[in-house]
Amino acid sequence: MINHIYKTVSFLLILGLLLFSACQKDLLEKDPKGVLAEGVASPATVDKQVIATYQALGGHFFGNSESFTGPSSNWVMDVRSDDAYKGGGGIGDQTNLHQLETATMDPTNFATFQKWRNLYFGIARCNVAIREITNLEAANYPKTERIAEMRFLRAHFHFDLKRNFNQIVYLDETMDPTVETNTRFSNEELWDLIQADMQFAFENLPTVQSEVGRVTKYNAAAYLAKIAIEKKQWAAAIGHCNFVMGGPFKLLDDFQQLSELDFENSAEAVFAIQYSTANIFLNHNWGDLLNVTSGPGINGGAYANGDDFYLGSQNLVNAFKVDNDGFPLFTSFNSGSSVVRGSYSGPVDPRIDFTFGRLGIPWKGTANYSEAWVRSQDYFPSFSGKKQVIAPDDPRVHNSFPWAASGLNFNVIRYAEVLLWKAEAIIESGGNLSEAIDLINQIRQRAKDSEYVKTLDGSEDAANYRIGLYDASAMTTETARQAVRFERRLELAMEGHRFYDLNRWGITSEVINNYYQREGDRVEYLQDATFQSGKHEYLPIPQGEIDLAPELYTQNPGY
Amino acid sequence: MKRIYLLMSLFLFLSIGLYSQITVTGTVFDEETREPLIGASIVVVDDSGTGTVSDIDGTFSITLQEAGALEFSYTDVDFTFQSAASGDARTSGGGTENALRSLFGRLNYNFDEKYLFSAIIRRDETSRFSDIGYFPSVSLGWVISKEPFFANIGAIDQLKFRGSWGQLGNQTAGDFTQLSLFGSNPNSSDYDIASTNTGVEQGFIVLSRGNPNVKWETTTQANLGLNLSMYNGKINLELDAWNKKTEDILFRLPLLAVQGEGQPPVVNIGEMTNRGIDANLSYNTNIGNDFNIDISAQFGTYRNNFDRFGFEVSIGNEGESYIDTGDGITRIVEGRPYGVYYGHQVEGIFQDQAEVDAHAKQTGKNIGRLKYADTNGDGTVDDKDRVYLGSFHPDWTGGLGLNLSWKNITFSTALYASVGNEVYNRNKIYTDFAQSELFNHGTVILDAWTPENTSSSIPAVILDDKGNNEFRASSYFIEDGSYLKVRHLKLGYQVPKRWLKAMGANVYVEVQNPFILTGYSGVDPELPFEGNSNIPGIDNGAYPLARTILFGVNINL
Repeated sequence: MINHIYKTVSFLLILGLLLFSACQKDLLEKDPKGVLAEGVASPATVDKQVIATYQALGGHFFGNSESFTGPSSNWVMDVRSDDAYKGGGGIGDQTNLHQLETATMDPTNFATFQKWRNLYFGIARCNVAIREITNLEAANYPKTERIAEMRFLRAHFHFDLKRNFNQIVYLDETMDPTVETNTRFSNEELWDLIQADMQFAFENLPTVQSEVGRVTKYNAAAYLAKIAIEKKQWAAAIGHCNFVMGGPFKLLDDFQQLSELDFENSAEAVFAIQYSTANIFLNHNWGDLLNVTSGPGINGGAYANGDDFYLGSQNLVNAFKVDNDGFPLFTSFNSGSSVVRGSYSGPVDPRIDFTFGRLGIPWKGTANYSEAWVRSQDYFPSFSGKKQVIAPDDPRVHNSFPWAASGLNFNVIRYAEVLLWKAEAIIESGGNLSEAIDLINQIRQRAKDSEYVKTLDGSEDAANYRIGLYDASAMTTETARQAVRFERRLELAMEGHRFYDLNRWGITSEVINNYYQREGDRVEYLQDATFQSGKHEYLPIPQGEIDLAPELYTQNPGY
Repeated sequence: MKRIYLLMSLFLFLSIGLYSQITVTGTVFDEETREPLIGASIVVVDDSGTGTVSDIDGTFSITLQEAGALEFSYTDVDFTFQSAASGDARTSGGGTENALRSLFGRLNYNFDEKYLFSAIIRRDETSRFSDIGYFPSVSLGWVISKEPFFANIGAIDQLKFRGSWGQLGNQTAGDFTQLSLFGSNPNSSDYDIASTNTGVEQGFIVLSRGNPNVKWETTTQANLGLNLSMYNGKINLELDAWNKKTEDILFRLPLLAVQGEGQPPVVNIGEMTNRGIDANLSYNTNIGNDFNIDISAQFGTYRNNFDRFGFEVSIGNEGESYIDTGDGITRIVEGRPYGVYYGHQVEGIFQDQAEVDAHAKQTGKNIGRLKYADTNGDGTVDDKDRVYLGSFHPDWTGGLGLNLSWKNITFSTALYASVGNEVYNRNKIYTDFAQSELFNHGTVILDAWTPENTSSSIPAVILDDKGNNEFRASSYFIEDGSYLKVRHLKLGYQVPKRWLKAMGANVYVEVQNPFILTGYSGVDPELPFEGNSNIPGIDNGAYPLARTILFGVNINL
């Protein structure tokens, strides 16, 4: 047996060769192509990061749905209010938005997540840019000014988050986002941090920028007013409004001009998001992509196939009813017959037909808005928004997807709102009522002086338009408050402000539940909806984020 | 890092031409290497837009006004990577590269063909990671049938026990995952800062997040098995039991929104176990001189479990919000198989108003609509009612191969079966629901629920489900994907040589994919599903395998 033993060693490679082969290390060192690796900052690349941070204002990051379900115009938040219906191809079209409309959103609601993510992506860009600017070693680079621009945008994103989610994560450039919770800062502290960013911007920004899209000291002052109004700091709000009013701003002569390309960045545009038709419309306002009437191809196809989302509610349209002197029917507007068609003969505020498409009324002078424009009978008669689209016969409008696209900017703050903030602050702080009423009257005067919507042949006004100026001497604090709040609803209708106004006035659940009940007669699905006070004022923290980091995020009450 | 903007030196040869124009020729060099640069851009600084690029030997020639100036620029030696370009006209294109260097050594030891030992060690280096991977493995074999005490068992030709243990590395993480990369994307980085309405300025965003600590994923596999051969090789059996543990799994961990955009970093996370049994039995015999039978059968079963994972995560692209609720259908969950389905449990269809009224609060509930279970019993159907709904992993798989020949006739076939795998048939959105509007629907929709046809499982045909949101992830879409497939059938005939003189000829008919036995309602429960391999088990409408019938003649001259 033993002599049969033999052994075979096939191979033995010396381990030393394996363990100490350090030669040709460069074989394994590869550089990326066509992109920059981090730490390669120069003034040129840092400037590009600043540009990209501005781009985040539009909320367009990789697709389109994140833009239109978490839009910077906040139209989906108007849908949560008594001002607008979701619209579109029917109740089931964009279910996530239907859930917002009926206060049935869960923490997995996708629109909620998109809003959250869009804003934090913006904040992340701010913080990347601030870090790069800070680390940049380049003489003559306007470091402080650029940081002020970035802190302005950071305050803007946090502000929008705060109003929508309340318990938010605050992130500056020194913080590690993977450890920051949404409960670290109290409500007061969050507001202070947002205000501090905007204050820094105010103190360090120039009053004029060579590039129109960059933010200025006036933008910051207006935003400080917006924050102060939210915090009910009336005196501060008045101060900031006064600063803006000392700047190069005024109301445009004609209300219609607010929806025209030629009047972009005009004296009324205090802070606007710049859109463009560059790159085959990649840089247009994707957030409002769906909000175009499905008009049957006027002027060779303009708007054809529009999605017809974001429609004014009957309640809002009725709010434009006025008495014979042109004053709003503050408490009775929603009773009696509704304003539906152009044939409604009662007096209405002239801004109604600059704001919505209405059956039988010309659409921006081109064709009568008709039943054929209504996409879904669920939302008949489909009061489609007019403010954020340009005229279909404007050669700069796009005739196919993306529907009605143009370079039209979105005004985050326009001068009319600054005047209304000041008026509201005066009224709420027990100031001089006639000064406040005068501010409101400036806005009404402009509406009155505008060229009203005409019938198609141009021969006469398309409806019975009336608007009057308030007499301050007849006002009490109570009626003045009513007037300023109503003026906000009319002047700023379909501009994404209403839900936040209701929240800061503390009347959301009362107003919305009344609305659900009454509006449910016309729009069936609202009948069973309930707005839960203490819960639905804010959106839920997205469940996907909580799943990723349950130790960081505490869900909002009720969800 | 390579310097992006390279300096260069110039040699200009001026010659004065007519009409006060001059022609400039020269050569562009890299200042450091003195290599000629191809593709440097030379532009006349005026409104004419005149320009040229340097040739392969770095030379160029350009004509300009006497008082003109030239601007030289150079971005990347390899301008095939077009995404680096900027300006009004855009092009795009990219490339990437990686390198791998491996060494390995092996030791074999064989004692009398009875005791076998083998050891391997690999050393792997990759451009993707900074660590070096060492991956050893050993195997042992004992041919027990060679032992003296086995000599008398005549039926057994060979019986061998095997055991092995080994580690392997995986580097499929993508290139440059250690670096964070910035770049431009006209979709999401450019802004009209100057308010031109028709133009934009280029911006840079984070494209991907780096993880400098990313390292090799390691799989450790232990195996016990035996080989048995009996009756002079007529019967062969192989049995294996294995346990595979994968650690430091390479995974693009989803980022929190607060971390910002960019492709998430690759991290090493989690631990997954696969354990299973494989068996392979074959039988080969001749009956008489003319008849030969060759049968082989395979059986396999495995269990997959994700042992350790910090959190739940959905796999795939959440941007698919048009067709689902945006929340992941397939998930990775600690303690469950990889890719487990997650969604609502469908309890049936509401038959009448009483049933609708009696059910928990469910937006859009109505007669003829899908009824979702209130699994947590809180009176409301919402996110919190979602449950795990099975996975794509089969209970077992089996195969059968058969080769028969009788004289000149041959027949072969192969069968494959998978049992217990579940499929998420997302196509049902189009086949079963009219809510999907602009698509053709399946004929099954003709049998949808109506007040007369109450036994149907397909909800009533409706264009708008009023918020019932029936495209949401639910058990409605989950089907048993078990199947038995015949892969092919082949019948051949060898033409006798005497008929064709010296030529040999083989005539055959073959059917590939002749049929499949399955209860699955989609096209094929086996097909590769979602294009993204990270989303297993979702049938999004893959192109079916063709049934092919081949008639053939092979002629040998």
